[in-house]
Amino acid sequence: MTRTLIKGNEVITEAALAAGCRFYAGYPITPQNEITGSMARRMPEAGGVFIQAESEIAAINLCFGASVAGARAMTSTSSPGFSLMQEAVSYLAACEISCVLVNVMRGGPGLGNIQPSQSDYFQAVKGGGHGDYHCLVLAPATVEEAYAFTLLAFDLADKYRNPVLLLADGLLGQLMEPVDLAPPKPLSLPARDWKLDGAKGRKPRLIRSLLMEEGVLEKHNYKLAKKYQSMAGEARWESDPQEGSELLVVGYGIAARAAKAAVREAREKGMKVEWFRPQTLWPFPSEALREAAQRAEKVLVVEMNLGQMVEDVRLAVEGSVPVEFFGRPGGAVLPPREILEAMQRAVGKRIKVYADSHIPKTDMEIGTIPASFKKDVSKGRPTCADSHIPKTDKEIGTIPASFKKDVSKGRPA
Amino acid sequence: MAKQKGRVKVEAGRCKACGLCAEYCPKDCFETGEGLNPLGYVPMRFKDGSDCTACGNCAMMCPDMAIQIWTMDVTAEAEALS
Amino acid sequence: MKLANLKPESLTETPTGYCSGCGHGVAHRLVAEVIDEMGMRENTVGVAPVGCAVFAYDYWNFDVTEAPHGRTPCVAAGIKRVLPDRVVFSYQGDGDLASIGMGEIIHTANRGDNITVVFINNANYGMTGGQMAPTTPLGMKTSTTPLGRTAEAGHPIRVPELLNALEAPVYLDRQSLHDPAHVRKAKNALKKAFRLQVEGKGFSLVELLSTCPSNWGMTPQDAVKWVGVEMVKTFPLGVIRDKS
Repeated sequence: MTRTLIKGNEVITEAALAAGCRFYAGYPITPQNEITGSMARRMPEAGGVFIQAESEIAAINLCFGASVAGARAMTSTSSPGFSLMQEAVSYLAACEISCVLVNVMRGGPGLGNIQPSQSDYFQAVKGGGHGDYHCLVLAPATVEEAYAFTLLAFDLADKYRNPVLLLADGLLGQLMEPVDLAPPKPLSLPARDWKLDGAKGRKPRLIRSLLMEEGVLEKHNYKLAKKYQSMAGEARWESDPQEGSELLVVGYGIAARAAKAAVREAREKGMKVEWFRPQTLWPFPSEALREAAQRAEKVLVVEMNLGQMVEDVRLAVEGSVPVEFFGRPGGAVLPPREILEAMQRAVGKRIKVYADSHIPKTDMEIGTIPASFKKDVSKGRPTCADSHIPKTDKEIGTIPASFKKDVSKGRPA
Repeated sequence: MAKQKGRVKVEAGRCKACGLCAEYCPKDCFETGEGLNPLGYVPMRFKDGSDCTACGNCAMMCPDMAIQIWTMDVTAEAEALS
Repeated sequence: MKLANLKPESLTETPTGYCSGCGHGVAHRLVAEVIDEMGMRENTVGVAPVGCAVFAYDYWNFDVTEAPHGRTPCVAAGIKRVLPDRVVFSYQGDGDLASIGMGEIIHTANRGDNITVVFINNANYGMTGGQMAPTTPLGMKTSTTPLGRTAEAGHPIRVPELLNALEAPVYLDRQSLHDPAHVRKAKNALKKAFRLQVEGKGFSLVELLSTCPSNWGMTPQDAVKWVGVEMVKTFPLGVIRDKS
């Protein structure tokens, strides 16, 4: 085990190699180029095949072939490139071919920009390609999780004979965090009794999705449906249960990390708030989410888009709790401060945070602990006596005396 | 005294100091200037008094429209200069 | 004294975001000069690629549209079919034209759509960080050929020669931007290609060898020298087809 400071994009390469992936095809597109670049170096070192394909369409179809031949294969791209891959994703699902796909999301729609976003949720989870099918979708939030989920993706792909999508974003792709990298070890890869490697000593096999005879395609779809139902147990999530919470904040990936900072701040100010982070977007952890939602008075979904996962959250809670949304589209990252403001709007309360907020006001403060924070720690957390959160509804709209005191002192320098 | 047929003005704010003007000037009329321009480069500079013939090579090679070639009538204006 | 070289009307005042010594600046200017000299600025529609020149519309003072990566000739052909009397051109790099757009350029050329294609060849993918392009010469190191390109990744593709196997194209030329004499020749090639379009003659493509000092890891001066000495070995200059 070596603890390495490594970039999200590059850790995906390391994990793929550790999982026994020996075929990679990809086309350059920002912000995932480090995956293609590191694969160009590392895959030949591991004795595998690296191909820079002429386009994303070629890349995923090269992986289709490699998977059919029995190799663990992976391609990676970003949003516009993943749009190009949709036809092949439908084919991979229809033909029941194991394959790992990586989408490092960027701002869209169209050419968009190269900033991180989460605006491909619909594309990832609701299809994107044609027909009744699903990909398993894993959504890492840390570089360590990107490593672990890439390993998991290959195993799930083989377990279910299905394409698996690792849905990351441009920020996670560029982020560097310490990860314990296990050196790739020889794996006993699951035998693929469906691969095409020449019908020597066995009956010929067939890979196809064209099923023209009466009723055959319908039957195949039911078979796929049954498989998708059996995947329900793969749902994963992370949460922090708390009884009687005013608000449940739901987010995935990088948005969840920003939301956690806001939740921590709000709790220190006395707000009872819980968070829930789906780690699989398909299958969606609906039951666990519904349970968590029912402990809360309201749900706030936080995403880097115009509102996509929020629809699945509404479906999951089935009207039992009001669901609100906060997000920013077009490649904008969510500052915790804005999430905190959205949380306050959701519960209809004001929390005065700026005076002793732990959320940095400027970039320069990130990494340094503000002096006011230290003061807070020594004093202990503010008690209700000096909390700015109104104790009763009657106080909403009146400025507590303690608040006035802070304002006259001015913001901390 | 050398008779100038041309004089170049380098627009310092557009120059990215690629040096291709200097590379292809047959009369060695360019040098690196001083100070950083807003783009972060030390812009090129036309050496005043150099033997520019207004051949146009510099403007032909400049990717940034940073070269202005000013020509003068050789007989009249050159007389006035000398 | 008078100013000998005016800024072309078809070029905006905006300083480009291209790297120091990048050939795009010269190529954009040549296209602008040709369009001005033909008096066609107000009748021109350009199609910009995905690549460094995705921002070309900031630098040209006429109508320009973006196109999805590689589909640039299709967008140009679509415009030309609807507005046959306009000057319509696509401006593409190695990835846009010869990689993801290979299908589109072949079929646009095959249909003989009356557009002009300006193909900028700088032997790598600049915008995304210097990866191999279909035009990367053998042995050249890029971020996806860290040990140098081998034949396993394919040989470099000569596009005008490839299109020369088709019936329809009228004019296919390869010139270079590496020194003043060649820049002048390049302008003449562009002028001819645009003139043929105005005359309704059919599809033409002009490839221009250009530099990418940043990703080649060279100074601009070394980069132009490399084009003039080394790159021309893989991509010989001169007319490949002239059916005009």
